Amino acid sequence: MFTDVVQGHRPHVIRRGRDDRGLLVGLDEAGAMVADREFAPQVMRGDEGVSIWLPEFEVYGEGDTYAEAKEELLADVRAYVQEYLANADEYRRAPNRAGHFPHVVKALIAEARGELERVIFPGPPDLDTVRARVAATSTA
Amino acid sequence: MPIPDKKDVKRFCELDGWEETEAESPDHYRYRKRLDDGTVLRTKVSHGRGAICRAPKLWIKVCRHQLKLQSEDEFWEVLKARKPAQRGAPPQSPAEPQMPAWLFEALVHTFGVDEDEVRSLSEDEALARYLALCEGGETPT
Repeated sequence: MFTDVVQGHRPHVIRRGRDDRGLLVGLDEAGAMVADREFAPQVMRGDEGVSIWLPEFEVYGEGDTYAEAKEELLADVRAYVQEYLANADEYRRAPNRAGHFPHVVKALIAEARGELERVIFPGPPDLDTVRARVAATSTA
Repeated sequence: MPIPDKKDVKRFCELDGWEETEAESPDHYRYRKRLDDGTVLRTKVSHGRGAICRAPKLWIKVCRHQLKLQSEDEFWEVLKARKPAQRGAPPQSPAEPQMPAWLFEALVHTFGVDEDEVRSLSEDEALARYLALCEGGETPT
């Protein structure tokens, strides 16, 4: 069944007893489910060092350099994903955490693939998008 | 409004009834608090002395989102009155100067612009600079 799920890309519903239901799904398919969830870390300007805020998880990293701040933020993301999953029943019902679940899954999958940094810190948008934004601000 | 010291935030957590959690972080104390409606708050305080964070705008984020306070004044009021915070309606964050990390990275790592110079730019200025560099209208530094 596992081969069918992962290599055949066919999710499988698992039943146990009368009420327990689960869904066994491959990483590719799970990733596709949360593909539209994006992270948008924001660099804060300060007099000393660099601060990066991640609004999707409400965590931050700081350092003397951008690289240090990024490293601390990624460590905080890993800690938050672990904490979220360790307290999943509570956090999925918390008003300020319930909406984090798809992003937690996305980060979990990214970590499993060794892609956490790339997913949390996506590259630039296409140039047309940037042009549109610059044009919008210059005419505002 | 000044950025509080780390000891101020630790004191705030004590007065406001936060629990210190056993985190796998060797560099930070971590705290968590559950509100009556099920909201779970969490924050961190790095070891050592000094301000809780480096950027004033980050302190505002921490105050509004992690501590769920309506204002920075409410933080200081807890320390002054030695009583838990009276949290009301969900706080709204004011517009704050910041820029997307991809923009910061592109300017610094792709085009070699100095980090300090990038930090001094507004998001609009940084976007315009990025576009100019991408379109070859400006020579990378």
